[in-house]
Amino acid sequence: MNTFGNDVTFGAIEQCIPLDGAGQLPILHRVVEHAPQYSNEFGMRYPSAMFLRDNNGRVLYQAELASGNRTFGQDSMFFLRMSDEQVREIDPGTDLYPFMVAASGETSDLSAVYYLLRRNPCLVGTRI
Amino acid sequence: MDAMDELYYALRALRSEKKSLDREFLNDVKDLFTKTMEGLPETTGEYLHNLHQKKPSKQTLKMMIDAVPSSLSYYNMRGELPIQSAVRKSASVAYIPLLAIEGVRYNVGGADKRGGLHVENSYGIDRRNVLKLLVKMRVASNPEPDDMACLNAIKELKESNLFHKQDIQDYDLLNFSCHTTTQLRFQYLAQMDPEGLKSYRWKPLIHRQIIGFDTTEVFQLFLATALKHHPDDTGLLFQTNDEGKQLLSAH
Repeated sequence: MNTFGNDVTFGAIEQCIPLDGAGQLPILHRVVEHAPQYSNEFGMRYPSAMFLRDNNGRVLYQAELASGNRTFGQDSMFFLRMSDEQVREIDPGTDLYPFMVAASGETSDLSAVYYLLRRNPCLVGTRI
Repeated sequence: MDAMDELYYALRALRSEKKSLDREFLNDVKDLFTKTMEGLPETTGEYLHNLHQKKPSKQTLKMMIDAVPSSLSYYNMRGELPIQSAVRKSASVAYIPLLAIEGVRYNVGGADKRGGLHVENSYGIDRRNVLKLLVKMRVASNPEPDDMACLNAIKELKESNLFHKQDIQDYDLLNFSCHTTTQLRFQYLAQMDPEGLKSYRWKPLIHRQIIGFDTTEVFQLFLATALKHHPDDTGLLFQTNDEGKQLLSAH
């Protein structure tokens, strides 16, 4: 970004990935996964991409959760904003419930696991 | 009848009467022809070093090589083979596939040099073989025809099994060709080896392409090409380098 500056860099990206055009890529999924610090810049330019599913079949909040970049300690609102339906929606990439996704990965987020299970304790006993 | 015809008929007549000729005279004639033959590779070799000016038909060129195969291995003043001279001028790159095919037949450059394609130039710090020069050759004033000519030569080499996917990694050809003046070659090589877009000497290639350029054109070329082959990874835009840094924040 420093090489060309913010505007020039994003101008170049826009030349290759048209703003909110047809046939959009799930670019926001990759942003939240790999470059969450640029979520705002990309979100402004590609708002419709938040409704897409990525190649794992994930919608945006699932990609965010699976990335491990969202923790209960640093961003509790992400978990608090999840609807009841989202709390019990199985992640298509791993075939796990959200609380399981939060428990997996390199850093198991116990606070998130606890919160998500408090929201729907039945999930512990309903896994097929 | 010109001198060449005269020589031909004289040689044919003498050869047919070889057994009846005076031995001393025959030896003198042999010495004379030996000297002529010694000069032939040099004369033909010099011609092969100037294909960009001579522009013979490929058929004629092949006939010349068949007649004087050693001319393919004739080194010029710069210590280069004809195939190395051919890659320096856009007007002669079309001859490279033929020179390489014939070069394989006659072991030009050595057993493992693939007809001279793998022979490196003998000067400069960054020694480059013919393949590297072929993907990098650019003339800023006339980029598109040159790019197309070089691309066609690469395609012919591939069809002749003289250019392999592994060469792209072995000689960093994606990195060498990632430029707006060589974009047809870059796109073709990327299609051959999409995974090669991911790294350059164990580092993300996209990070390499943003360093040292004044404009974003090269970056855009890379991103547009990578998007075609890696849409799910959004064109490798978010690859991290060995320090774990993003392209957007690393440079």
